[in-house]
This record gives sequence, structure tokens and C-alpha cells, in this order.
Amino acid sequence: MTETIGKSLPRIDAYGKVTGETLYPGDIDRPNQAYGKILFARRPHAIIRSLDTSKAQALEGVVAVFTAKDVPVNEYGLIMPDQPVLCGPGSDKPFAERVRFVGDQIALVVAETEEIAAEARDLIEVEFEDLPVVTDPVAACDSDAELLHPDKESNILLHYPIRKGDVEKGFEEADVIIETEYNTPAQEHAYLAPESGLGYIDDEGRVTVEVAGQWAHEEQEEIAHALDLPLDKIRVIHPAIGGAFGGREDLSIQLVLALAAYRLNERGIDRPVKIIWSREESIIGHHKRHPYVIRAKWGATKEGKLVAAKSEVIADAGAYAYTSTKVLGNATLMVSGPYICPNVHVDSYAVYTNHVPGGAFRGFGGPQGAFAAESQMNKLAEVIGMDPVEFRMRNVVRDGDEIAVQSPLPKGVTLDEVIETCAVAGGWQKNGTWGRDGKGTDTNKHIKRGVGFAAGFKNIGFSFGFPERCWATIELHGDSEIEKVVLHHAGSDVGQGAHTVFKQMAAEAVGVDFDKVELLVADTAVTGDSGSSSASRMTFMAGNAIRGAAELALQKWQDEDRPAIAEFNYNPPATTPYDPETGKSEKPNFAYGYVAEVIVVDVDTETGHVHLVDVICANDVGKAINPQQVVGQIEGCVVQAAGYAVLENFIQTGGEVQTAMFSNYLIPTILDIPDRVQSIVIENADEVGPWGVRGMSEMPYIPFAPAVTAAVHDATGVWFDDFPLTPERVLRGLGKF
Amino acid sequence: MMHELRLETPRSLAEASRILKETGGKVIAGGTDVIPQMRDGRFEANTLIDLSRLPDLDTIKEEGDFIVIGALANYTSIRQSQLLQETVPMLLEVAGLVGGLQTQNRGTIGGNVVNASPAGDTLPPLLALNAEVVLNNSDGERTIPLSDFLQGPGQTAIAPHELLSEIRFQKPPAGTKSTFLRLGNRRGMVISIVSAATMLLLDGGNKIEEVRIALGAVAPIPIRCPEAEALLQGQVLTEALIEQAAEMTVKAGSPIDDVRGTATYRQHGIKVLVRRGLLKLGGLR
Repeated sequence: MTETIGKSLPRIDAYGKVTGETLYPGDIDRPNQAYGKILFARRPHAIIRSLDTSKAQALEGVVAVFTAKDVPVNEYGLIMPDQPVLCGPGSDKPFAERVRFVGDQIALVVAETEEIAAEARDLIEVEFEDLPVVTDPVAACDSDAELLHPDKESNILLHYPIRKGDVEKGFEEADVIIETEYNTPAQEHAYLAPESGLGYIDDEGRVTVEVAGQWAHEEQEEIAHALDLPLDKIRVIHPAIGGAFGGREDLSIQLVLALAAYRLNERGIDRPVKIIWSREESIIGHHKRHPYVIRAKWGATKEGKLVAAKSEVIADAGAYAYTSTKVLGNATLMVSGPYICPNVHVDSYAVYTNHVPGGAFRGFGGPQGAFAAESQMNKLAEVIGMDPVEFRMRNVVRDGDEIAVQSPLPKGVTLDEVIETCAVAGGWQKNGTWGRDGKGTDTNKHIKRGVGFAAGFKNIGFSFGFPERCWATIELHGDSEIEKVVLHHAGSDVGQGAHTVFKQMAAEAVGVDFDKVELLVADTAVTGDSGSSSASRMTFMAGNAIRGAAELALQKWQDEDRPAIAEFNYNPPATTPYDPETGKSEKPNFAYGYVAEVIVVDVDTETGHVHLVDVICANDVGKAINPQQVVGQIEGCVVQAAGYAVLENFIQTGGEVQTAMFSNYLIPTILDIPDRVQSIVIENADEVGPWGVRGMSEMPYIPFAPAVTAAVHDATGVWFDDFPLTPERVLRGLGKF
Repeated sequence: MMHELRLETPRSLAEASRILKETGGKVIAGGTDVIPQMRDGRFEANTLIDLSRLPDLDTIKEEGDFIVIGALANYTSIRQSQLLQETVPMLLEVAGLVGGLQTQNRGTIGGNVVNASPAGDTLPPLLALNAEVVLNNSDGERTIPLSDFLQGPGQTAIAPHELLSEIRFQKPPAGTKSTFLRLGNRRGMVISIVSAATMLLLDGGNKIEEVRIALGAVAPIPIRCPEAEALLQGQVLTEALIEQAAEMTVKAGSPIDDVRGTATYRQHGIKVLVRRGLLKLGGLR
């Protein structure tokens, strides 16, 4: 038996995906299946006065049409049930006859073919009474603003304050103060596979949904709630998943697929129902990265000590809550940066508007908060006349230092080392203080080169008091020696290679060869709750669950149990929520990842194009279970963050999505990604992580945008406080017109 | 919205013309415009007439002083044409910028011309070349200048039962240089916000014998810049003169704001692209 962790073993799913054998939900067909089409609201804010499905029902080939009156408990929401499953009259849910964004779902048509379903959908007659459309999250906070949810007092969904020290006194001590309003954009996940899947009744009579998701057991719970059925009557299976990035954290087609299977079965119709969303349906139908308005006022002394950090943070939550608690929670922490500051004052809000809901997206609010924090750091360094790396090294938190919530980070803070490692790789030197000579050579008089630096931290898992958990079962088969290990685990492989890593960790934990491990994964019928494949948590959580289960199973093996079977539910160290008055939190999170980036850009000052030349990313991952996968995650994250910073321009006008196709929502092509990405994988063990693992797959996102704007500033002398850095925005910033 | 769709696959231009006259169907070649239009319900037709099996309409050849490009020539064949590389290299540049490889393998120059998008990338180079289009119907054919053919966004002088069969232009004199430049919000697979085709022939003493400038995506149809061309004609090419001409071309356009860019950005872009084009062709940068 050889060591299996720390090795770049090939992905177990590679062959099937490369040859096309692997089935994604949209590829799966079941005998006698019917097809579903959803009627979307396609208007941002209205009351449905009447809904007439009779013409649709009467069309030949239509099997059924479902509306709000067919949903047993017509509500949904991961953190609060504020969204109707189907909008319209006829359910008990108050105000469910309202539509609040263009992607709200009104009806599901089930028919013999997708074409008939689409035709019938267009025959549904809806009478809308339009309501004023709320698009500005700042104005939406006003007490006289149109309310999205009349059963709530305000459009302000959440408010988190942080109070530490005396920020006004801090400003008095400051020699320099930087005050800026930052605006960060919405972003589409743009996964390769649009939402698709099947709903049916399985052999054991369970309402079953086969879809791509990130947390099968949460989906199971949400479906059980909406259908008012016991949990064990619901089954969720995740086949191969074509990307997620947080975009599958919330539910999309799961509820209507389950509803259709359940109601058809009641009527004695035993037919699976299949839905495949078009790209346009996917773009209007699932949530986006929250746009943020952040007003920051920070002060520092001439000697380079940060003395005050005040921020007001407003997140556009769109129509429904989705995961705004988590997204805003992280931004609230990260907006003050991983720096020592005696006086911190933050007020952050998530606000309802008639935009597509804001929700989970790689980094969960971290990139937005860090954009303001790191930009403030870079600007302060500039006005003090200090190198940005030197300024960070004078303020960065180390073991024992308090952050904004008046408690230290868990032991093993390595950001200082990460910053230094990245800086050295990016051409910085320490001669007494940190500095870098020159900024590279301009290509010509119009194409200017610049170098930018930023750093960041982000929590692993949801935390802030959330009861994190992860379950695993290990079976050891054989007689005198272990011949086969079976691992049951619910964790979704969203394309990041989780299942390969599970297998590596199980082999290591049991002490057998990699090939002896078999997986039973991603099906609520054969696994317990593992939590979500998101928030950089799955390797960390699954590893600890697998280790726990393996230890117990090996004990049973010693006791001659054959097969030896053990399950283990891992709970990480308990965390605490923000204090509602001061934001104080003894342990907001149980673990963190640390990251720093140097980015080199060329700015074409005539056309406004920003070209990414070099990205150097140093990421403390704790332990790389599969180094090739870790580098793959860094590179993928860099490409996605590059789109966010430079290219991707999600436009909503009056609540309508203007960029619902890939011809006008532009994501990076191979010509747009950085010329070079240097991934520096640092391995300082986390005290709690399995084999020292920290989470890592969101980290490169955190400092990316502010490192790019710092590089553009270095090249042109202009700070950009809004992005993406489209050619037009850049030229306007440069004063070209 | 659901209906039967008949697919006709004529094997000769005459047969295609006859079917077109009989059915009034929608003509399809590579399908890179028609299929998305169909999916979005932007036209109604009971018959699709697939031209892709017509013989000889995909050739690129010399006919006397003329170069003739068959309407069915796709971007890949343009990109790989030795003849075009020697005579009109900007057509290779433009063909290599349209979509990705799959689109270049399917999309045809005839389709781009008939689609008449203000941002159609082959149109500025063809306008600069003073290209003509050959139109056929069951009674015969006619040849008209491309500048008359293009009438507005998606609008052309093609008659209801006509087919575009060829695009022809005079071979530029030896020594003529040409380039196609464009601005988009990303580097590839993008619809142009502004484009510019520039042709230049200098005599031995850096004097301009012939210059042509055409712009895309800045007016309802791609346009030429006659004032700037007149300014340059017969002059010695200098950076100062180029700057003056580039300023002048801005006035030729009448751009609009759309989701890709504002009129202001387009006006700025015209100047940048014309300047860069002339500097490049003149060997000044």
C-alpha cells in the first residue's frame, strides 16, 4: 500500500467525460417520458389578476398544466420561504399572486413533446397588473419605496452592523483618509450545462428528481416542504454535473419536476417528466452574483498603520432572499480586510429589488467585500507613498491578532507568508522594506503596462453559527485482509473532482490502494447529509467525515466484523453568529484560506482594452490532496474572476435582462484569458482540516478584481472603482470622451 | 407557432430559382444566421431551400481582371485561399475573425452579404473593393454594386425570387495593401462594435495612388468615407495627414447606442481604427 494523498492521480470521471459516455441530466431519458415547459413571468413586478389555462389544457398532446393551486405548500427558500413555487392565484401563500422578477415561474405544462409543451405554454392567458419596478437597491431602502413583499415592513432583508473601537476617533488619528464609493456588478454563472433533469416516481414509490445540484439533501428537504410529504418519500439524485459555481445552490427546476411527478401519479399517470432549459431560460431563471454598492472611508497614519475603517455595504438581493445571509455575512467580514485595525464601523444591508435574485457564486460575497477593502489598501499605500506590499505587511493579521469582530482568526494564520511568497514571485524584494523596481515595459506609446497586488482571506464553510455537518459511511469487505472499501458519501462532484479526492482520502484513511475503493455517491437514498459542495468546504468536511468513518470501521474490522461498516457524522468546531448590535463574534468561522495575487496588465489607451498578461496566485491550501486538481481549481478560478473583472457585463434595465444570451453576455474565450497563470501552492497545515487541508477553490477570486484595478492604475494613473473594465468604461475613465 | 417545415435541396441554380419562385421559401446556406432566426421565431416559412448542395458556387477564382467569390464560399475556404492572400489579404483577416472555427466552416460570404447586418464583417472590405453582386432568378441574372444592394439593417435590393450567386470585384493593382481591423468587447467570437477596412497603394515616393476606407457598425449599412479618401488621394502619406483623415472619417458615421457600446465609443473607435489601419499599411508603425 502506498500513500495516495498528495498525488496527482487522474480523475476517475475523466474517461467517461472525454468519450461522451458520461450522462448529464439532460442526456438521461426514461421510457414513456413526457416533457415540461415553464411559463416564466417575463415581467419584473406585477400582480396576476387572472390565469386561464383552459386553451393550453385543451391542446392535443398536453398531459397536464400545473399552477399555484396545485402546490401543497406554495413556498420556497433556503434561508426563508419568501418565494412562491409557482406564482399566481389559488394557493394559501400570502401575496403568491405576485411576480417579482422576470424569471418567476407561473405554470408548468407537461406534454407529449417539448414543442407541444411550448405551444401550450404560449396559450396560457395571464392578466397582469403591473406594479412600480424597484431597480435601485439604495432607493429601495427608503421608507416610502414600493415594497416587494407587502408582508414585510421594508425592502431591507438583512442588516449586519460591526462596531469596534471608535471610528471617528480613528479618523482624528489618521494622517490620510481615503473615501470612495465602489460598485461591483452582477455575474452569471455560465455553466456549460443549463438546468435540466427528470422527475418521476421510483420503484419504492418515492418522488424522485434527477438533476444537477450542489446539496442533494437540502433539495430533498425543500421538495418535501413544498409537497408536504415526509422526507423519506423524496429522493434526489445528482448524476454528472456540468458546472455549478454556486449557481445550483438554490433550486431551479427541482420543485416543479417533483410537483409534476407527484400530481401525475395521483392522477394515475405514471410518466417521468423531463425539463431542459434553454440558455436564455437558464440566464433569466437562476440567481446571479449580488451587485454591491460599497462606500468606504478608511484612514491610516503616515507610518503606515491602519487606524480606521468605515464601510457601508448595500447588496442588491433581487426579488428573493436566496442565500443572502451567507453572501452578506462574508462581505461584512471581508470588507474590512484581513488587517489589524483598532476602529471598525460597518453597516451592511441586503435589499430586495425586482432584479434577478442575488445568490451564491464562488466567493459568496467575499470578492465584493475584498474589492473595496483591497482597493482602499492600495489607495492608502499610494497616498502615504508606501509600497502596497510593505503597507500590507505592516497591518496584516497574524496569529492572535483581532479582526473586525473582536476575536482572532483560528491558529495557523499564514497570510503574511502568502503575501511575501507571492510578492517575491512577482518581482518584489525586501531591502529593509518591501519594494519593486519598475513596472515592466510599455509595448508602445499607446499600450501601457502595469502591475497590481492584492491579498485576501475567506472562510471555509457557511458558519456564523450555522450547524455545519458532513456524513460518511465506510464498508470494509474481505476476509483476512481488506479486499474492497465502499464509501457512501452525498457530496456532489460539480466538476471540481470531488469524487476522485473522496476516493483518495478513503484509500489513505483505511490504508489500502486507491483502486480498492468503490464509491456510492450523490443519491439521498444511499447516503446521509454531507452539506453543500460550495463555500470551499467539501474536501475539508468530507475528509474529516471519511477519516472518522474509516477509524470506526477499522476498529470493527479488528473486532472481526465482516463486513465492517461504520458511519460518522463530522461536526467542525462550533461557530458563533454576529452580535446583532456590535457584530462581535468569538468564532465566526472554524477555518480560513489565505491568498495573494500579482497581476500584470497591458492597457490599450486608444481602444480601452485591458489585456491580462500575467497572474501569479499564491494560495495556502493546507494540504493538496490532489495537486493537479488544486492547480486546476486555481486556473479555473482565475479565468472566471478574469471574466468578472474585465469582461462580463450583466445588464438589467427596468428589471428586464438585456444580456440573456451568450452573444451579448460575453464570457472569456481562450483569447481573453491571461497569457500566463502561475499557481503557487503553499501547504501550511490547518489544525482542524483533514491531513491539514484548508479549502481553496474560491480563494483566487477574492483579490482578483482589486489586483487588476491596481495594475490598471499602475499603467494609467487612474483608479477604477467600478467594473467590469469594458473598453468603454476604461476610455471614459481615462478621459478620452 | 408549430408547423410543418419542408426542406428542399436543389442541385442546380436553375432548380433553386424555380423552387424559390414556386414556394417563396426561406433560403438557407450555412445556417449560422437562419437557424438562430428560426429558433427565435423571427421569420415564418413553410419551406427551407438549402443551397449547400449547389455545385461550383463555392469557388474563389480569377476571371480576367476580376476575382469572383461564389456565394457559398465559407470563411474557412476564404481564410485558406492563396489567390486572396496574394491580392486581398484583408479578406483572410476578416474570415479568421468571424465566430469560431465551427462558424467559419459553416458560414458563407453570400449569407453575410444577404443578411445585411450593419455589423456584418465581410461588408466593409467588399465595399472598399467596390464589389458587385450577381443576382439570379428563373429568368436570368443581373449585376449591381454592393453599395446599391445594401439598403438598411437586414434590408437589401434582392427581389423576392432572386438568389445571390456571386460576389465580384476588380483585382486590386499589384502592390495594393489592405487590412481589416475591428473593436469588440472581447478578442474573439464577438460582434463588432466598430470595424474598418482600409486599402492603400503607394507609389515609390510614399505618395498615395489609391486609398479606400470603409466602416462597419457605425451606420444603418456599412459605409465608405469619400471625403477622407479624397483628402488622402495623391498626397504623401504622413502621420499628420493620417490624423487629419481619421478625424474626417468620424463624420462619415451615424452610430447608435446599443447593448454592445455607445455612439460615443463607436465614434472614438472609427478614428482609432482608421488611424491604425493607415499607419499599418503605410509602414509607419
